Amino acid sequence: MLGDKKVLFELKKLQTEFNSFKDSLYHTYGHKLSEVEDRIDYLDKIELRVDQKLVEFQKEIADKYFEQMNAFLRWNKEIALVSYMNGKDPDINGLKRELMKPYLDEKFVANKAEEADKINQILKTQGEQIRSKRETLYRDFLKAEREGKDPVLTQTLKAQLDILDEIIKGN
Amino acid sequence: MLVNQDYVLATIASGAWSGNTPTFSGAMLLQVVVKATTNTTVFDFNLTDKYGVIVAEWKDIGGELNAQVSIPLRGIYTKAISNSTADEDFKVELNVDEN
Repeated sequence: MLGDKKVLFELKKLQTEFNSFKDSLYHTYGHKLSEVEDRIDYLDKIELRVDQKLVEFQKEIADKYFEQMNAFLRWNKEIALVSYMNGKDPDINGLKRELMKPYLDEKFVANKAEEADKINQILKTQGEQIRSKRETLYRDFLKAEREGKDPVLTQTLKAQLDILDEIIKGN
Repeated sequence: MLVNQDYVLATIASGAWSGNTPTFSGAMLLQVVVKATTNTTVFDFNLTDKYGVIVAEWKDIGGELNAQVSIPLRGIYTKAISNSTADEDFKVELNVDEN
């Protein structure tokens, strides 16, 4: 019983000392703490203002960008229209056709390229055959005429050459 | 002397041309003149008789051939320009004594 009272007394004493220590600690560093808290608040406010400024700046840049983009597109459109119209009344369908023409031409060429190549190849081959045939005929004619052995052959070759030349000339 | 001129304006295609002379019944070829349109054109020229024999030939002529010759002629001959470096007109002239 006596021991308990002693312990309780000691505890109270310790508590008193602790409270005293706490008071002195607060007394010594309390105002510092409030200063730190104030600084933290100040920094928070600065951060907030920086964020606000960043958002405002971003918006300003975006607005300017789109404004210039719109101006550029408007200017291009006007130039294209002015060039196309050349003082005439507006013809929207004509303009559409003009705008579509390169695309359609390209598509047409792409579609017909193979067919055109085939036709060109046939023409080239036939042209070469005709040229080669004429050359041979002409050489044979010169030889026959020069040798003078077979007047009928010479006349025949001459006639063939004349016919071929007429065909080539398209007369 | 009875000089006959065999003249033709030859158009070269693929570097070559050929043509026959009139019929000679006994003559002497005195002069051969072959002139390209451009004087830098190089070509060959020859004459072939009825047997296919080349009786006269000139090679690598630049611009103009002008040769004094003495070649007996009988029958028809083939004049041929070959290996021309340009496809253009040529003047081909044979001066023949048909006396």
